[in-house]
Amino acid sequence: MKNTNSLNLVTSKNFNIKTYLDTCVNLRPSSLIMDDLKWKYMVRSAIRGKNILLLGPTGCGKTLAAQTVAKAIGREDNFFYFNLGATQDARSALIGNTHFDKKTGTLFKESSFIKAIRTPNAIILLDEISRSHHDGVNILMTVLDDLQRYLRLDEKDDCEVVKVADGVTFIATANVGNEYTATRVMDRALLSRFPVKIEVTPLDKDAEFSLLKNRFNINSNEQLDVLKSVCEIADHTRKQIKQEDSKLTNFIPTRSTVEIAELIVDGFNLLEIAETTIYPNFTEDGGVDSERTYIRQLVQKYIKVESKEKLFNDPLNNNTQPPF
Amino acid sequence: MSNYSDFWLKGNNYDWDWEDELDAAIADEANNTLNDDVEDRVSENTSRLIRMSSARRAISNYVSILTNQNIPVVFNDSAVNCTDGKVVYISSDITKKDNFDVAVGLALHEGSHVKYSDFEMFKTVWMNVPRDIYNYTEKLNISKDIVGKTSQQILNYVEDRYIDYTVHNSAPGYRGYYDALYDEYFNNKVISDALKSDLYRTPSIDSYMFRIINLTNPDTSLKALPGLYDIACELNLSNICRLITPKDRLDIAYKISEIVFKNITEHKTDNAQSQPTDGNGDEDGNSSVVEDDSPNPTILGTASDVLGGMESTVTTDSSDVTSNIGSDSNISKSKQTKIAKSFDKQKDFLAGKIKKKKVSRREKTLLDVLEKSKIDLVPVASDVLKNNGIVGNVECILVKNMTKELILSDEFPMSIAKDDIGARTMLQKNVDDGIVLGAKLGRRLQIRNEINVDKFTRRNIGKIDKRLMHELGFETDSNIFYNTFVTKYKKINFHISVDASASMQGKKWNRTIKLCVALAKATSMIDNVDLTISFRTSMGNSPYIVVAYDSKVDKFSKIKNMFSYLLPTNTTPEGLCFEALLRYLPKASNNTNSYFVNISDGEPCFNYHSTGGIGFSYNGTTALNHTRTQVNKIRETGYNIISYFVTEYDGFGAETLRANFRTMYGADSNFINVENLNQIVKTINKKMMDSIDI
Repeated sequence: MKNTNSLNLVTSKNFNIKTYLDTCVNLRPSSLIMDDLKWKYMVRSAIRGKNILLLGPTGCGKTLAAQTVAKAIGREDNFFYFNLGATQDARSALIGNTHFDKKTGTLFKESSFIKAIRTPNAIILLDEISRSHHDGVNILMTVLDDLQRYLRLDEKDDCEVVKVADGVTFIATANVGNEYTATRVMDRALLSRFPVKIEVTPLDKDAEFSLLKNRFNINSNEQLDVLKSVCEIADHTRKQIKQEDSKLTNFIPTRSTVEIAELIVDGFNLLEIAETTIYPNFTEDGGVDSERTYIRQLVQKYIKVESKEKLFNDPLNNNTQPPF
Repeated sequence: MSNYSDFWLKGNNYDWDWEDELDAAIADEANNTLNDDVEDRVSENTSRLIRMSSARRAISNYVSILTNQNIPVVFNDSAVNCTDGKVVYISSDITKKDNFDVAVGLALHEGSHVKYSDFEMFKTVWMNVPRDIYNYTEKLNISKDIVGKTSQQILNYVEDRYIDYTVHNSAPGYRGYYDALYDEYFNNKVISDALKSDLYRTPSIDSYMFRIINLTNPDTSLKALPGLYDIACELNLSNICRLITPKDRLDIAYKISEIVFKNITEHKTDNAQSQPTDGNGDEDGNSSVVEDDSPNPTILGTASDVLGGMESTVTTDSSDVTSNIGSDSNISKSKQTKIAKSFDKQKDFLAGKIKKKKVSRREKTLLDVLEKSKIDLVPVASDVLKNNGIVGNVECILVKNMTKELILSDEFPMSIAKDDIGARTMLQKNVDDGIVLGAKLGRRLQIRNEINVDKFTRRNIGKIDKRLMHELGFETDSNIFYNTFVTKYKKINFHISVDASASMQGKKWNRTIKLCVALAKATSMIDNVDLTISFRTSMGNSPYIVVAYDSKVDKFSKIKNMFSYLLPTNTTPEGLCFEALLRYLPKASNNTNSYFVNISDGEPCFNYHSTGGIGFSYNGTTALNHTRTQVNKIRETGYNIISYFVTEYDGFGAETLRANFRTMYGADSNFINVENLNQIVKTINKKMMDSIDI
C-alpha cells in the first residue's frame, strides 16, 4: 500500500475503512516502534478526524508517532506543528498579533494556527500540551470541542469566528506524572475533548536495540555488544523507576540512548559512555547509598573484568576423560 | 583475591575500609609500638555496624539489578534460612574484603533463583518421580523418601548450574563474584584432593552426589563411578543453557536420578551375586559394618543374600546404599573430616540452606536503628593526619536523620540518662519556651509569604500594552508600554550547626536549644525558608554530627518530641565536622540565599588514635587552620557564614579565645553574651527581611 494515495483513498466513495485498517500496519515505517493495535487505532482516529491525545513519559516517541501517522496517511503537506510548551504568549501563538502601520493604523495579523485550522484535512500537532499556559488551554477549549469547533478572533474588528475546517485532526502530546515538574494538571474538561487517548510506552530493550542498530547502521560485534548493554541498562532504569520503593528517581529515555548510539558509532566504549552520558543523570548525594552507586553497579554488570571466561569446567571437554 | 567492588567504590569518592585491612593495620602497628590505645576505639562497634549496613545496601542493589525486583536483603538472624523468593539472607561477616565478594556471589545466586526458578515445581519433585526409578530402588528396598530427596538434590544441582551459567554469561561484570563463590564452595583444595582420592568411588547415593556436585571441578574423574560419564553426557554442562524451562531441568534431573539408582542397584546386585552369605552379612539381610584399623573407618556395607536371579529383591542396610563412600588409606582422619564438612557445605548450598554468620538480636536492632537514621561514615582529615605522619583518615559519623530509637540506643552520645526525669523536664521547658518565642517571631515574619505585583502602564519603555495600541494612530508620542514589578522574598536556606561539646552545658545549652526551637517554629510558619539544625560532638574515636531537624523533610513535632533528650557531651572537632558536613549541605543557588550559622563556645578539640594506636591531638594551630580551611570551603559553595561565639566568661584568656575564633571565622564572627542570646534571633530575623527579590 502506498501512503501517497491514502488521502485520495480515504476521501473516495469506494473507500473501505475496514480493509484499509487491516493493512495499515504496512504504512508504519521501521523507525517507529509501536504496538500494532495502537497504531491501527491511531491511523483510524486520524482518518476519522478525532482528537487524539498521546500520553507517555519523556523521550518515548510521542512526537515521532504523530509525525509518522501524518506521513503514513499522506497528509504530510497538511501537517502543522505547534509546541505549546515553548510558547511564551499563548494568545499571540494561537490567535494572532495586532501590529501598527503608520499609514493604515493598527492591523490584526492572524497566527499560523488560524491558517492551520482553516486547512481541510490538516493534522495539527499540539506538542507538550501538558506544559501549556492556561491561557492557551482556554483558547483551545472551543476549538477542540466536537460540537463547537470554532475560534473567535476577538482582537479583529469584526470579531470573526473561524470554523475548524472539515477533516482536521488534532493530535496532542502530554507527559503525565509527578516527575514532570513544569507540567500542569490537565483538567477533566480538556481531557474529555480528546476522546482518543493512546498511551505510548517506552521501548523495550529489544525494540530499542533493533531501532538504534538499524538507524545508525551499527554492524561490528563489539559495537553491537555495547549497544545491547546500553539498551539493557536503559530498560532497567525504566523498570526500576516504576517500582514502589524505587532506588532511582530518574531513568534513561530513548532520547538519551539515541545520543549514546551516536557515541558508539564514534568509537566510545561503554565505560566512556557511562562517564559522559549516563552517570551525570544520577545524583551522587548519599555516598554508598546514592543513585550514582546503584547506576555504577548496574553498569558494572556489563563491563568485562579479568575473570575466568567459563564459570565451570565441563568434564566432557577434558581430553583426559575419554568415554569408557 | 581481587576485589571487584573497586569499580563502584573508587569512583564514589568514598574511602571504604575493609575490616580485615583495619585488623591487619592494628596488628601491624601494635607489634611495632607499645601503645595500647587500640582498645580505646569506643565508636568501633558503631563503625562496624555502619559498614555492615552499607555493605548490605550494596548487595541489595546487586540483587535488585539482577532480578529487577526490590527483594529485601537482610542479615541472617536465624539458624536456618533459604531462598524462598521473598527474602535474601546474607552473612554478618561481609565487611571483610574476601567475604564480601563471596557474599555478593551468593546473593546474586539466590537472587537469580528468584528470577529463574519455579519454586512450586520444587515442591512436587517428590510426587512425580517416574516409575522407572522405583523399578530399580524397590529391588534394594530404598524408601521413596530417599528417592525423592535424591531427585530433589539433583534437581537443585541442575537448577544451580543453569542459573549460574546464565547469569555468568549475561553479566560479564559480575563474573568475579561468581568466581569467588565457586572457589569457595567447589574449587577448593579439600574438594580437589577428595576427588583425586579413592573416596566416593563406591556406588552409593553419597558417592554419586559428591561426584555429581563436583563435576565442574577440574580434578573430577568420570571414571570414578559407573554411569558418571552418562550423567555428564545427560547434563552436558557446556550446553546447559539449552534447558530453558523448569520442566527441561526437571526432566534431566529425573534422568540423572535414574542413572544413579540403576547403577547402585546393579552394583549391589552384582556384589550380592558374587559374595556368598557366609561372610559379614547375616541371614536377615542386615549388613555389617566393618571396622578396620585404617585411619578412615567408613561403612563398607555388603549386600545380603541373593534370593534368586535378577528378579529377586536384594535387601541391604539403607546406610550402605546412601552413605558408603569407600576408603582411602592415604587420607588422614582429620582430612576426611574436612572433606565431609566441605561436602556438607556443598549440600547446604544445593538446598539453599547455607550457614551464614548470624547477627545477634541486639546487633539486628541496632542495625535497624542505624539504617533508619541514615548514618554514614565520612572519611575526613586525611591532610591533617598526613601532617602528623599518619596515612589514612578519621571517620566522621554523620547521622542524616535523628530518630527516637537512635537517641534511646547506646550508639548516641548526646542523650540524657533515660531515667533522669528532672533533667528532661528542665530541657522540655527550654523547648516549650522556644516554641512560644518562635510563634511570636513567625507571626511577624509571615509577611515573607506575600508577593506584591505592581503594574505601571503608559510608560515609554517596557512591554507593549495591547489595549493601548489603538492610541498610536492618534497621538504620535503615546506611551503604550507597561512595566510590572513583582516584590517577593527570596528563598532562604539556613543551616544551623551547634557545638554540642560538654563545655556548652548549663545556661548556654538551655538558651541555645530555646533559640534553635524558636527559629524552627518561626520558619515552620512561613513558606520560603528552609532550616536545618545539626549538632556536632564526638564519640570515641570519631567526630559525630547529627542532623536533628530538617524542615524540608521533618515535621515540627520532631523537635517537640526529641530535643528534650539532647545534652552536650565530649569534645568537638569543629573543622572535621565541617569537612563531613560539606558532603551533606545542599548546593547553594542563585535563587536562594544560603546561610551557614555556627554557634559555639570555644576552640576545636579532639583526641584521635589511629587504627594502630598512634594518636594525635586535634587542637591548637593545626585545628584552627584546618577549621578555617573548611569554613572557607563552605563559603566557596555559596553559603554566607554567620558565626556566634557564645560565652559567659570574660576573664583571663578570653581575648585569646576571641582571637582564635576570628582566625577560624574571619569577619563573620560575632561575640555575644549568653544572657543576650536573643541577639541571634534579631540578626537572623534581619537577614530574613533583607532578602527581597525584585
